[in-house]
Amino acid sequence: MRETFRLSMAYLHTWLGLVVGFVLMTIFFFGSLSVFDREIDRWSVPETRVQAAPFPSFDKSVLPYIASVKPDPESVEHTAGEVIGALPPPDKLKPGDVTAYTNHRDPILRMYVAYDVPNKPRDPNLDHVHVYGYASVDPVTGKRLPDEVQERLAIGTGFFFPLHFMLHLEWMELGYWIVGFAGMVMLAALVSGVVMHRKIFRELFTFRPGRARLRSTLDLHNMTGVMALPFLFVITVSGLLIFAYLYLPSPTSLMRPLATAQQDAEAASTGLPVDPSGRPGQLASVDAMMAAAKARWAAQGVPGEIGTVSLIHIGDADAYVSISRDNVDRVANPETLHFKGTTGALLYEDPPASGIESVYGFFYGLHFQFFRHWTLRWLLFAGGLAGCACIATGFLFFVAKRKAKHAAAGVPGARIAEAFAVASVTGMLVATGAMLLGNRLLPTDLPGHTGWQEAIFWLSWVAALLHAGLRSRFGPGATAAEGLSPAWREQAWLVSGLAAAAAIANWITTGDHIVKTVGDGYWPVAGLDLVLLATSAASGYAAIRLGARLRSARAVRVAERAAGQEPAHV
Amino acid sequence: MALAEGEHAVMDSARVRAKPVLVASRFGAAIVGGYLFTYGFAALATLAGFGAGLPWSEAQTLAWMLGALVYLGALLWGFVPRSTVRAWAVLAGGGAAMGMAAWALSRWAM
Repeated sequence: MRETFRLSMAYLHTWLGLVVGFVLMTIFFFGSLSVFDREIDRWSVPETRVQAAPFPSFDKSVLPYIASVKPDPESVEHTAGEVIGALPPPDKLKPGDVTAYTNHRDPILRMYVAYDVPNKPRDPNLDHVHVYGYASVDPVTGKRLPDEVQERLAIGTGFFFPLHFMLHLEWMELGYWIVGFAGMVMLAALVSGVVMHRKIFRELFTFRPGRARLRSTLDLHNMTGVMALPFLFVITVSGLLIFAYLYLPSPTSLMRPLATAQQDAEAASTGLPVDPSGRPGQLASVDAMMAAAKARWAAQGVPGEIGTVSLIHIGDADAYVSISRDNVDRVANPETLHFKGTTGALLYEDPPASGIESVYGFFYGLHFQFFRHWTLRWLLFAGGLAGCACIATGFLFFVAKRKAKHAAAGVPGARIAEAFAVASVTGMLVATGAMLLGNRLLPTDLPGHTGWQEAIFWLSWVAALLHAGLRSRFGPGATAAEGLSPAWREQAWLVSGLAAAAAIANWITTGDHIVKTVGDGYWPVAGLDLVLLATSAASGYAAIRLGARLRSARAVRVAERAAGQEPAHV
Repeated sequence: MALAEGEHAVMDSARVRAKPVLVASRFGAAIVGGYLFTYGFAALATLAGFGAGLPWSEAQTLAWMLGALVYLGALLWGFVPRSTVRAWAVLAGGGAAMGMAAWALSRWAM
């Protein structure tokens, strides 16, 4: 398209990067926060601030609660849209399967009950349609959490994490597709970014913070992009592969008869009953099966705790129980054993992963980070933030390079781009800080407690964008040729204030101040408070520096005017 | 910027010439055409893997992993040819050809 291959790459890097960069910024930032999603959950629901505990008794702490779980209204509504005909009333639905899950970071055992639905799906691609119901159990006491606590918004797993992978756009799975496309653009930007630069190796070691802003911005863009390149590439590919089944259904959809026959044959080859027999059966002790599983893993040299237990075909003679290890010591592929429900006999053991499964499992596990390795966890968090820095400096470079020219020509392009850049950097932090502060200050008995917190998040983000737009003074007569938009500095102050206020509000509302949580070694809350305080300090420092720069630029202008000169364009 | 000054000049002159319709079509070729290419590729690659003796699920997983790289290549390559029509023809046409081949071969193999 362009005259040389490298120019084509530069063209797509610039324009795809600009358009999709705002989405990528969101994905990388909330992905970084999701590395600590369980910890953010503890902070945002103080009733659950307890130490993580191993999987409790299934017989005493899961089975008795199945009957008390109710189909989730949102799940009922979603499934009603997927099937032909009206669903039976929710209280008439029969629980088919139950899965209980915990891990080494989670002080909560989560229960997912899948209710059988007699209706046929509209889309023949969906082979199983269910309605789901949820419950949470305290693994220490073995008691169900009160509904009031369970329904509280756990901001880590309940808001930031879904924002990371689907932007809370559920309609037509639009959010998943936007995120998937943005991920592909990220890969394309990494490859084209390398191609654009002939002296890539030298640039890796180049950072000139004192030079003109254009130069040091580009240095930082190159440095974060190239040094973190392997991480950014692998984390993006692995995220895409998690949803590959959604993005690339062609192996099934184009070849349905063959695909269905093969999938059925593979399922049958395990010997596990795909469908219930229809005859009732008495369930043997699942706790005994869990003990057998742990003994078997210990004998195989991989001792460990239980991570996931699923009971399939509840109450049926062909019920079976699948038990997976909490995979804390490896990236991929936890061991899974399947037991016959009525006898507790071992039915099937998942074979070791093949080469292809190991590669896929590695990507999957790397992205979900089930492992217990805090150094690695912090490194992944830092890597995600390096991705944010790379994307943000890309924006800054785009804006800085064009600002003077656009201002001279009276074109608002660079100013609009800058307003979006402000919104996607400091604006996103404003929204996050405001939500965390709102979480601590809104009374929990407020009707729509969850909705209020979400509204605070979205509205403060929109307000940050509006503020950035108003402060960038684009449009007719815009002459601000040099300098950053003052919105950067103003929002940096706001971020600094909000982050500190959130940490202080946590102290006031729960009594868990930083000295206490650090002293107690309760890192889920201490960690988030420390990050909030560090953010407050860093953001305040940035605001001070931006202010100093603004004043010195003003002083230069005044001096130049006094000397009767036109201000020099940068 | 690592691009030479001469290349900047070329880029600026190219920007003046580009028609909005052609620019949109070019992005469409790379993004949509590239996706169609990958869609067809994933089906055919699954079938090829299965034909080579892999279990179906593994052939599909392999096709997904390769598919990410194929779409990356298609997305980048879509901006390379001088002719936008050629970019569309290769990507969308190639995808349709692979998809139809997979559709027909899978039914013949049953």
